[in-house]
Amino acid sequence: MDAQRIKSNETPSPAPEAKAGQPGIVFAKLDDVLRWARTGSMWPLLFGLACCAIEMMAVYMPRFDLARFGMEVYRASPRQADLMFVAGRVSRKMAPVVRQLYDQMMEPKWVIAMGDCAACGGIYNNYAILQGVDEIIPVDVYVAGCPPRPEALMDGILMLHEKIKKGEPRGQIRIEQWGLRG
Amino acid sequence: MMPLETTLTRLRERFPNALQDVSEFRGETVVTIPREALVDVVRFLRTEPALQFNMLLDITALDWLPREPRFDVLYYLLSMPNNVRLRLRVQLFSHDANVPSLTAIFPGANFYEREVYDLFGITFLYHPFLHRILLPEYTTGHPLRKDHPLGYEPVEFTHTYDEIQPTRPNAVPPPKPRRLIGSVGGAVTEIPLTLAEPATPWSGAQTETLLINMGPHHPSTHGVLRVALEVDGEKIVNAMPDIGYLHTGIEKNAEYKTYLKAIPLFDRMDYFSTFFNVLAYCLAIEKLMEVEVPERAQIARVILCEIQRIQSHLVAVGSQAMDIGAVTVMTYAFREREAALDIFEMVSGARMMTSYFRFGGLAQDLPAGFSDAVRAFVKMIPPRLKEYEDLLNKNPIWLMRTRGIAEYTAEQALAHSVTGPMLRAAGVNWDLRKASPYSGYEQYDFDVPVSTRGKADVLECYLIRMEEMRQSLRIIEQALKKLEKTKGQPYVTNNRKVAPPPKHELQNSMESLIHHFKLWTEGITPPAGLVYACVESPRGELGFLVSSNGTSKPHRVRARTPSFANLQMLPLISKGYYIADLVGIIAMTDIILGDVDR
Repeated sequence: MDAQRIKSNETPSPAPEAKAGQPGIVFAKLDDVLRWARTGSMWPLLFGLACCAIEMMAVYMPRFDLARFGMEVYRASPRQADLMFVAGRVSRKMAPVVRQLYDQMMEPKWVIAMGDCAACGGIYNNYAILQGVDEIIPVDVYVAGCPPRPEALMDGILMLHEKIKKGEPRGQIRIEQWGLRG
Repeated sequence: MMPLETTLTRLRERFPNALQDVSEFRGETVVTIPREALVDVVRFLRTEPALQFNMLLDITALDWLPREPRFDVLYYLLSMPNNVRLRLRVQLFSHDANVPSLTAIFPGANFYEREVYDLFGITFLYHPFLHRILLPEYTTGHPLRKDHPLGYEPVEFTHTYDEIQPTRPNAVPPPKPRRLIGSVGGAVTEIPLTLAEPATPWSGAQTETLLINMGPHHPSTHGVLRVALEVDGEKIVNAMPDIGYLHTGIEKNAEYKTYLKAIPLFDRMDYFSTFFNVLAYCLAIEKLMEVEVPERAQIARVILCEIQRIQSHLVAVGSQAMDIGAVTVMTYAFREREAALDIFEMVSGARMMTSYFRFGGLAQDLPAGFSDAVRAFVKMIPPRLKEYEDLLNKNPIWLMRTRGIAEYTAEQALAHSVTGPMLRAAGVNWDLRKASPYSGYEQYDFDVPVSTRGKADVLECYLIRMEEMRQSLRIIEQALKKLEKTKGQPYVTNNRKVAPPPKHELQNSMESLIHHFKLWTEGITPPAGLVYACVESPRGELGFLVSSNGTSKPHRVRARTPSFANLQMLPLISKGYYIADLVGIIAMTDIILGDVDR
């Protein structure tokens, strides 16, 4: 056992041939290890709203293959997911549902607003559409495009990974918008 | 005698005083009748053996504020045996905006009347369940009325803050009491469990049925559809769709844009058939302005639309198979879909939202290498289709879960205004590409796959879609040959009132410069009138009704979308099957929620 070896002050053998069964030791801060682990197996919520959802599906299909980032396991239940793609326009009827789904997700959780509609309402500035999903849930990464190309979404995901690894603060709700609402 | 004239003659004979006005514009006839005669006229049109108007395609309304009578309620009827279309108009005063419901004659009127009630505030008397369908219950006002603001939110740089403060019209009368189903996301929504008898109390005490909420977040509802299920054990007693979770206000937004700028709005309506959306809209405007489309543009439109039909059906078949458990087919279908998207990207620069068609033609000429790319696509698809069929057609699980599930007859489909593959699966030979050809479809040799089984079911719809893809390939092959001959020909009309002049003309022609300036500042200004144009989209009849008042912005644009009508079948066809079958049934209807809710 490695732990015993350390106790008895025995140095582990550095011989490369011993690598297979004898992993070395890496010292790191627990926070860093946790963050690194979280980026390696992030499970998105299987949840789409509109056009962007189709490109979101394309991302985990063979050509773009999101499995490369340990993320192909889409969870249908929000309780098992830790990343939400808001893929599409959020209508006023849908907004409470999105909020409830977000509330049901376990901490820590992240949100990617995919596409212009989720980010700011896109071309639909009218009575039916929420002008950005960040009015109801905090958003960590905004991906532009209408709909964004799959590569753009993957870039957003990698950006989120970087954010998590660096321990940057999470996104916030745009509260100032609430005062302006009629 | 023309069938339409026969219809009018028969109507005049039977109802001597009812026909207030018969007007014709661009080959479409609108008959104005009084409200009192509506039910009798529609019943006569449907039941008279010589007329046989067997489908109610659409109900919508126009708001002519400040004119009185303020509202036009428009009923669009289709007689498939005679291939005649007739639009009935009922004019209503604003103080008395109600009209009798047609649900007793056409069950398919149900959703349409609820939609008109929701968006215009017109009451349909004797409707079984007249409540909001697209907007949440707590909404005040009816957004498609002209005195209702667009309701947009302020953007940072706005300087017209007074204008954007919504002035709410008087609140609507409180809705009638009805049963509580549950709350979604904290907002209590109530929906009926049956279409015909919503007042029937829930039978829970006697048969121990259970109410289950499916959606709007559910992986198998193909978007944000919510279905209220009443189940007896695993069996469905009732399934009522609750829609509107993706209501985007596209029709209202279009009234605030010039004709050209509205194109991207419609692109995002049915996001699996963007070319069809824009094509139907362009056809309507071209009809309104009497524009000839050059041959090259027509051929390009046909090729792109048929590729998109294949793409849409691929995803329909793939997701249907995935819902039933065959995930492989889904991943294969998306592989082929990427090839189609590459072609779209080649012509327009965008994978999905292409906005490539313009009034009178195309946005730009087809790129070099287009024909080769399409040829490679046409060559690639047939073996892949064979691959799917190898996976599915003899798969016992697939067959057991699709054969005999969700059976319905042609009469039921017609009564519920169902069009497209769902109708052809029930044995009705109806395809707009044959019935009323557009974009030169009459020049192509292809077959319309129609089921001969007698009753449609999930498997039948799948078989129809597979065959339609093969027929689309045939059309594309023929179109490619025609395209070769049109090389170098114009891709857009030379009508300068519709399409901008080419760049080089601006250097030496003052007139061209003026046209260019007018088009990019004001936009096109079609004559006043009401036109309708429809295409056969992968889901059925997709039509655009454009009402113009002679200005550069449309008075109203109405999209008659196939998914909205097809979804009405869900309560009928899912009754008595298992919950597990419901996902297959929803996949069979191939609804796109953007198409349903708009």
